[in-house]
Amino acid sequence: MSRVCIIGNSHLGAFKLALDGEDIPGVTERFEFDTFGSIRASLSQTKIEGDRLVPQRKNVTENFRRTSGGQTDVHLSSYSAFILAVRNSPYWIRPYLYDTNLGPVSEAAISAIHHAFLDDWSIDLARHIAQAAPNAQVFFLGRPLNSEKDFLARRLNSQLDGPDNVAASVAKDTLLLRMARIIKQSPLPDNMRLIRPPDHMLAANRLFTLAKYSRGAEKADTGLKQVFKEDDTQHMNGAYGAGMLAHLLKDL
Amino acid sequence: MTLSPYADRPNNTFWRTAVAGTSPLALQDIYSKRWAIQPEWQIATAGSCFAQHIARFLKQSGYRVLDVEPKPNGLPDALASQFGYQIYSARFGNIYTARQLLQLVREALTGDRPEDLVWEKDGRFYDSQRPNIEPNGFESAAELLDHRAYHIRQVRRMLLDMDLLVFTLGLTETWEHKPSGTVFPTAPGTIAGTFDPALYAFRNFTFSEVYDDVQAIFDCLEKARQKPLKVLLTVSPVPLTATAEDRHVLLSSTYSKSVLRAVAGQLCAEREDVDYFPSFEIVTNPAARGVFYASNLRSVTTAGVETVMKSFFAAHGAAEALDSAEDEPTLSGDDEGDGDGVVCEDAMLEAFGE
Repeated sequence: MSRVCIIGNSHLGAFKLALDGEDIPGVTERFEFDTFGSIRASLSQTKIEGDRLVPQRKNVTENFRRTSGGQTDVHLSSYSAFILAVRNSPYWIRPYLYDTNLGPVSEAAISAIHHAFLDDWSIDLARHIAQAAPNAQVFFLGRPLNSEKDFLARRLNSQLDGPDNVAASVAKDTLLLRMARIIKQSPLPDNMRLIRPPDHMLAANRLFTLAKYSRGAEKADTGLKQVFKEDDTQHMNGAYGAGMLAHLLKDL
Repeated sequence: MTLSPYADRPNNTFWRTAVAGTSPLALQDIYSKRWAIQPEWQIATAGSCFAQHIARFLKQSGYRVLDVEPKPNGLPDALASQFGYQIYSARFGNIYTARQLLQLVREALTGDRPEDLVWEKDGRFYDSQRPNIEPNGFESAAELLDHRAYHIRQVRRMLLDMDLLVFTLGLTETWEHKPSGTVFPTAPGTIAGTFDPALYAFRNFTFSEVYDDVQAIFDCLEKARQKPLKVLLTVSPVPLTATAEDRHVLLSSTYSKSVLRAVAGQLCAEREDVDYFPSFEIVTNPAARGVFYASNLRSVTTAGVETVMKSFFAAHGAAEALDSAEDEPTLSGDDEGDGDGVVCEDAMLEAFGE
């Protein structure tokens, strides 16, 4: 059976819940999983040393041990795929908004924003893993797109349904098309991909995650069992984790 | 015995004491504010490239400077000005002439769109009213117009919401689209577009034309707005890069600044809601012996800008930004000026000189 390594921060929780739950058709019978989590941005304190991803801080080592069931570093050649669920998603709309407003954004500006995203340490981490494990596929997921119940979703929906709805809708559709085109052209290793959640997991506007995936979300923080507040629109539940695993691994 | 009427005049009315005998870094009583800027006022800034300095210092000093067209959240700050963001209160770029501002105000408040809006270069499309806001232009004319529609909506908001407009008058020279009278911030063919003498004509506005344009701006604003407005006028001390008149550029520069200064003075004399701030005089002060200008003798040095803003904040307060600076302004003249992110289209004209 192939092994898959999932690395993340609090958003690892959705995957852990999925793996601890019922079998995921097409996934659990084909793959074995290891998870490595460390809170917030602490995964930036890791380094590739030969065939291993090694924490550079004690707290990260401890977080790896707790979230993986005893392992303190990641043996990269053991896996046929890596999933990174940390930091922003390249498809998250917020960086492309004017404060909380939709408006026209030129291709050059979108490209500049995306390249700033590519400069983030999380992309470097994924890139380094891809280079160190050339036979593995690296999926960079980032964090989930916020739930459709999020404050920002309500703000955008009011624009998409408001008096300037045509302009807002054109701005949104143009933005998504251009983002897709520019993200596709990202200078990344051949075995690394930036992942957009599948349409069936997204709200109709394709900007946010369906609310059903955020209910009962748990996070991989200090104990992995801390249930998030009902109004947490950023962390997703086991159904999300299962859906994303099925989406990512279907062709592997 | 009759005393001379000058006998009891204060020191700042005498050249020897107020200019020749005073450090240009610390002019006393050169500006007396007409009204205080209230902390709750929303301030809009616009004008020629020197106005960027004023906008920046106002923001740093805690004034409520409007930014109705902020950059996209993820666009790095270092790139913002290349896309025309964070320079003024909206993404309109430099507004060099009163006529250009009048066009913008009319477009936003009455829907009168300027003609000849789309300029092309190498298959890319540029907004002729703000040709510097997209480094490589737009993909299509339709996209340009889409961006402009958004921009104009935001400018309208700015014009209706602002309590104070700080406008720096920059130039009297411009180029006009003959069929419509539309003017532009740059000559066609400089950044984009094609210069066709049959289509475009040089204009150098007179005192009465500039005066009428500013009055027309007031009229337009007064009709559309529901609340009072104050206007702070300044004149840019940056000389012309080039003149299209058949005469020495120094003569043209002096003409242009004289007209603008006179219009500002006239409006200030006539209207209680207008104040004039003497940035032009502070920088061109002979006591500075030109040291507020960089080696190109056009750009204003950091020391020059800081001296201007010190005078401003001495009157209006909120000078935290300057007071917290490590050093007082000095007169070292090796500053190239305009090096702190100022975007200036007219400097491109230098490329056309020898």
